[in-house]
Amino acid sequence: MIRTLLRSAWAAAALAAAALSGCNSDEEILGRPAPEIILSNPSGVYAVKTGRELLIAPEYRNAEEAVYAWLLDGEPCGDGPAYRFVGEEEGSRYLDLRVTTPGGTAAEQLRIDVEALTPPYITLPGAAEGFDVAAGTELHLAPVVQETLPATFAWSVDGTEVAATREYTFVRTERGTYTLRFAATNEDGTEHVEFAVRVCSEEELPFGWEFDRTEFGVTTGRTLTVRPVSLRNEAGAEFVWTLDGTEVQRGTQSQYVFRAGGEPATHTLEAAMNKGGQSLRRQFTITVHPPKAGYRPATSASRAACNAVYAFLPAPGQFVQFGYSAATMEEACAHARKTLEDPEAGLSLGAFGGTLVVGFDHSIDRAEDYELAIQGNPFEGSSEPGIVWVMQDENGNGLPDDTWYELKGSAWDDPDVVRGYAVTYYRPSGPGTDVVWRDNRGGGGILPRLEFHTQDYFYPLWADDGGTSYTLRGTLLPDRAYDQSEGTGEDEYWVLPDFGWGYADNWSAEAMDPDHGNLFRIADAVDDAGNPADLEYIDFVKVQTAQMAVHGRIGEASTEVFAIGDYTLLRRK
Amino acid sequence: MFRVPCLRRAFGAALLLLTAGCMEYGPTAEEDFSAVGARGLFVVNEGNFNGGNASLTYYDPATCEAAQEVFRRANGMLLGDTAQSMTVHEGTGWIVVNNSGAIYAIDLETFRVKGRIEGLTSPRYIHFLSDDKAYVTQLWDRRICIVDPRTFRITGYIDTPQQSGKESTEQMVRIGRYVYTNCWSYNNRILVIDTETDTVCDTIEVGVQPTSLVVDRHGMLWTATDGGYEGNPAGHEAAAIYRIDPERRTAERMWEFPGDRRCSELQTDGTGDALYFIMEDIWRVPVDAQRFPVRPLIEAQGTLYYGLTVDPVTSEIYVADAIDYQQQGVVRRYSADGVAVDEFRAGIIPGAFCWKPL
Repeated sequence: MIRTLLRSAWAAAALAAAALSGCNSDEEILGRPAPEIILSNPSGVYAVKTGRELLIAPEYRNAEEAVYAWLLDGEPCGDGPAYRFVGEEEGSRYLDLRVTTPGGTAAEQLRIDVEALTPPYITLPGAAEGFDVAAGTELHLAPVVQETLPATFAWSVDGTEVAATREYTFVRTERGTYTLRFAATNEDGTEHVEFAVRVCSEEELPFGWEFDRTEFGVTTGRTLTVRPVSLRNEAGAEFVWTLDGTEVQRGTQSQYVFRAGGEPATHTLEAAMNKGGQSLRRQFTITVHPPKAGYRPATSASRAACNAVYAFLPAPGQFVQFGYSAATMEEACAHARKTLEDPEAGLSLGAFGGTLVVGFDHSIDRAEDYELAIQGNPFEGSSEPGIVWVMQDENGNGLPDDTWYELKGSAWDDPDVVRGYAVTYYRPSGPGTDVVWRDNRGGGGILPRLEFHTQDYFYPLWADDGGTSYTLRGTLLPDRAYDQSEGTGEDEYWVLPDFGWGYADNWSAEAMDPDHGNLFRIADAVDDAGNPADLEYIDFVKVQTAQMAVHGRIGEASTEVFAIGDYTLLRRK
Repeated sequence: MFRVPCLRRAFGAALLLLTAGCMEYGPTAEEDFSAVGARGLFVVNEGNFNGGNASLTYYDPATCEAAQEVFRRANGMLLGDTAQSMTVHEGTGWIVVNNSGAIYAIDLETFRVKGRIEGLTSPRYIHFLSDDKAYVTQLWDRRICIVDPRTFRITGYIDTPQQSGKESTEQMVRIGRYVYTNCWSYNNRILVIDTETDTVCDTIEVGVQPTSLVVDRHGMLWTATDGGYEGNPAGHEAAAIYRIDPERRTAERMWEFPGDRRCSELQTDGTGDALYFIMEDIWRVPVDAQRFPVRPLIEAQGTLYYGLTVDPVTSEIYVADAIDYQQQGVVRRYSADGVAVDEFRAGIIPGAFCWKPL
């Protein structure tokens, strides 16, 4: 009995010593050598992917009569010489191993890093809607596959494997609908995308148009342009516009300019797109409002800063979901409101088209000088310009659902400026991957994930309403940035030149207040045709990232907004 | 840990206008401070590159009170652009302001400026050899400056065998006659400087981009390399911890960290028994350890650890969290065992610490 107690005390002491040292005990107790643990991985760090099994089976020396104790995160989990672990959740788990013999105790602490499976991730723009192709015409399919492990590929048409390549050119002479499947496989799994390809005659190729709204409002005396935001296979189509039952325009013009009369009224506009004996029809309502229907003069209690966020829809970017998350537009707007209230915090609008729409507790009157201030984070050689749009609450409903007018900037006449530019961003199929984009001019690419940002997605997860993509539209400014270090062998040093005046987040010598940022005039508001809008006041402001560019290691050009304010009131304060 | 110039455009980087929105321009009133008879901790807030919003925070560990922008408030002027480090010598604090090309000498009790060293290209650290001689390392200048702290003048230069674009010299440690300095930016060497001749007398090769340099209780040097990044002119490899024998001038790679992990801010405790550094988490490893610990001392939890110091007296640990590089950072204080003790706000991008002795 005395001997047993003595042995326990020694063992406890050895255990304590081992625990303190965190490594094998080499004490020799009661004439017997202490046990030793020899790990298969001397670092003590093991990795396993989720759902997979890991067997940790150390070798032992002097382990006769050994008692084994395994503790996982402090909880007993085993009593044999080996331990079998299955990682269910990503993260680090800590495993303590203690081996006790009459000769003493040895202990080791191990870490098991449970890592995510990394199957290949596939993005194939257009797959969600399927493809239409004329019989005998090639359809080249080039999915973007992001894989961290070697992958194999398989294409099938109606269940028959047709290729084992990354890209595939589909061509059929027989009309009909074919089901295509592309699969990519690596040791962590298989991902696939399945979609339809409709093969038809040239005449049968579907045509179409897309409008972003069916109800319009306009103030008496102004003009309103109704146009589709996108057209499909429109060559040879005829467009017929009918206003209140009277045909007012026929021809190849896909847009119609409505001139509001002097009296408030409601009009019905119908549009038809005719091609190959088929016709698509859309109907719109245009309400003509009296002047100043929603005008809200400033009072002594009016706030200079914007007080409402109606939309926060960034394009994908490195600072999207960086330190915040949102599942819905409402949550995103709440985050944006809170951020704009903080004088030291800002919103990143991501790549091209990223949008922020705000309102005020009063109408901002046109004045002789600048009336609007937008604070970004430019400095000399570092401008990421944003187009600024303004809107009057023409229908007086308190919502930004009337007509946006672009504020003309210094690059307005630059031939490289593209109006009506649109970019569709595709939801990545897995975390930690690049974002694929395509524009409405046949271009496209990826927004690369940058290694020094840790959020799972640069793609705003609330943007597509659970879909697979979303499209942002606006005016595109050319990318003038250059890497000053190019050819020198030195590290990248990007210079992002300014754009003169008239843009948010733009280093401007002539239209900038050191306290409030870039300055804007309501008088610079123009309509679609570039004619002065002649607005007497505005109620809403929209800022939109104006460039589609990636600048090496610093990532995408992205307009940042820290504050938007009524400059007339800001100056008074 | 991105102190690379080209990253200045990172969202958090930047921002003259942001600065303008939250800090005052021009002369402001001077406040009186009196940090007498107490140990204290200065937090050097780097601010945004080209933002001109560097600042100095002062923290009293006894009262747990932090005072912000003490340099500006005490002197009525801004600290400058991209403050890098601070060193105490004989009752004076020397703040190296990298992108302003200047070093301010301040009184440790009143925080008032006593003098200013100008004419530096891009100073990083100052190391005192005596009351009238100090070395200043630089990022974009292959010369190490020799300065006279009494006159605040540059008295000479040490030319280093650095290639163009890889000129940087960083932290300095003196052992006997020699000063050792790590060459971080696009480099992989430790330079050995003979303080009697003010010349570089030897170089020791280590891994890619040694970030920091300390000496342990055995008189051995340690450096943490960040391993660079893909496309780095100096190469890209796993981050590592090196032990350097200063007598034999040899380096031994002790621990290597595969993947895109980065090691920085290597520190020791007051006795030189253990190393501390940032590798996403905060790690502590005894200098005599045979195996690297599997568990960090302080785990990162959505944090962006950017600065680290260990109280030389209590071994308490202070970790600076830059959060997102744009808002005011936070400093968290932990016991020697890694138990949270206190936390306080600092300035934008808190990156370096300096202890004020009693």
